[in-house]
Amino acid sequence: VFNNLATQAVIFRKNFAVDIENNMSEIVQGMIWAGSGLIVFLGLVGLNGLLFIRRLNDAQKALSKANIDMNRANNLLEVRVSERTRDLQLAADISKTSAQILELDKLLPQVVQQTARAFNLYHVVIALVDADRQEIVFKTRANRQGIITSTQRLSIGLDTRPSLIARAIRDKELVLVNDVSKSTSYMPQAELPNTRAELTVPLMVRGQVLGALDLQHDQGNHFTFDHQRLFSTLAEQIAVAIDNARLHESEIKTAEELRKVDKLKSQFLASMSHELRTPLNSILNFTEFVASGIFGEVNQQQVDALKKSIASGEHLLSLINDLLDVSKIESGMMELFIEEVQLGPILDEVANTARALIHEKPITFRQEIAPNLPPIRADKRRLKQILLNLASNAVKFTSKGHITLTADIQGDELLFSVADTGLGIEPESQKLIFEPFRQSQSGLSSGGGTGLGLPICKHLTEAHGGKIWLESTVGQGTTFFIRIPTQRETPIPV
Amino acid sequence: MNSFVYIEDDPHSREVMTILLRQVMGFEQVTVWEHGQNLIERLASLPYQPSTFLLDIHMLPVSGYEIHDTLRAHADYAHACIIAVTASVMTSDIHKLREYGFNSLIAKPVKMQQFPLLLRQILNGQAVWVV
Repeated sequence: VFNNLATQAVIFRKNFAVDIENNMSEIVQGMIWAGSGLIVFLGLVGLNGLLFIRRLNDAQKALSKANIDMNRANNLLEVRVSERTRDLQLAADISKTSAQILELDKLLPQVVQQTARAFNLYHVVIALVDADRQEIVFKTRANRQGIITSTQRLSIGLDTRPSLIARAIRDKELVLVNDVSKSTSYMPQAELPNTRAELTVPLMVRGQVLGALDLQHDQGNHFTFDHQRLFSTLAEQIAVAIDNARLHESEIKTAEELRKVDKLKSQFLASMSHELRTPLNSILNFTEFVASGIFGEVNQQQVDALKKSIASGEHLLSLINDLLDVSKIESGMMELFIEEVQLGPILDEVANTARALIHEKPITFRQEIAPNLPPIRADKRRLKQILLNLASNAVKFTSKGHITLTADIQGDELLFSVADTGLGIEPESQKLIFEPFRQSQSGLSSGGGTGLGLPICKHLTEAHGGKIWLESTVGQGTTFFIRIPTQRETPIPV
Repeated sequence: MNSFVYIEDDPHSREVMTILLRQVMGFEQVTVWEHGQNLIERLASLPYQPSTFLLDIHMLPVSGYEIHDTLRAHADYAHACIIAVTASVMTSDIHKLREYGFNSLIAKPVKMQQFPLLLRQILNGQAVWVV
């Protein structure tokens, strides 16, 4: 505008100067010129002003348009943010549900159906890899209406081309095709004519690909970058849920198998016990008959030989009984027959057996039994079994000295002990010897027994509500203690 | 007068029991059978009515349990003394014997020194459950 003004002014001055140098009429003429120049000048100024105002208007318009655009963008952003928040919430819901279902047959339909509905998808599939058959099995499919039921097993080879699912699984990478008509990886399916966009996410756990989550939409360009991230996260959660469900199923299967094996073991032990005891009936009794002379006279040497045979047969029987007891304990079938028990006869029997076992060893057997021991409620046979076991162990591991059996009442409990002057038990073996099939070093080197006697004693004592323990010094001897309550109606399940 | 029927499918065990009852314990009325089929007819043909039955349990085709039930269902033997003599002595077996109503149990192998004492206790009316 000012440039224009300046130019006009220069033109005017030039004209004016020329006019004065010429004649007056020309001055008038010049004045006219000047006037018209002024008019032109003013006109130009006005025009420029108008133009300026118009430009100002345009700027203002642009500014307000930008404002509107910004508002619009803002709104759009808000919508996008709320959509994304909603999507994340939906995905969180799905992964939460999936984490709660431990059966694969329930988990997959739930996840697939929920995903299809929540994200308004044309088609959703979870396909799992069957590594043995090199196949991808379409486990569960759903559309907006819900689960698509199919009785036949749908599967494709792992090397199938074209297939987005096979590719995603092979490459362990997400595959996105937002316009299936232009993709060479897309495998058209007759029953899904409206698929326009497909997103396949591998289901990965610990670097292993379990399968794929496949999402199809009937609008092209449906899947955004946000979708990719969202469904990748969802796929991770689903993969973990599948992995958990499989672990759970294999745990159940293992437990069932263990139960079966356990039952078989019990049956085997029961029948083994029966099958071994039956021939022992003949072996022991015919030998006894001969040794006792009812079939005719036998000399001392023959009697001695037969007695050894009987002793071995009885040892074999005690091993079978120990095995049977352990199998009863392990299957929880060991039961006590609790009754009122007089201790005198039991302690006498234990003492007699111990003396018989000592035989010619230089060991004295001593009893320190408190007078007037009250009767106790216990399983007579099992109580005797515990004490006999301890006494025979004492004899086995003592070469000379003495073995002492004590019984005393302490409050409402009975305290028994069997002390010997034998080998003693190394400290590291003292706990182990109560575990099945574990013997101390001296137990092993003695070559006798099954390593079951003490575990059985422990179980039987505890089933009586009692406690068994030992004190031992290597080279000096061992004392086993047993404490049993005098009054107990029902056995303690151990 | 004590009289016995022992039913057992193992021939050696039959022989052992015969010697124990007859030679060791001195009983005369001892009948030993290898199975429990046609039981009532065969019992009727005996010259005496047995007071005590000793039964093996795991036998085919008629088990000791079935023999027990047949005896208990018959008026003549409903109150007889029925003793299981078996090598099957799992807790479940013992429970089943008690539930069926056996009077006593002597586990196999029986012991020559112990058996006479146990049997006398049973004949005196005690219940004996020895495994």
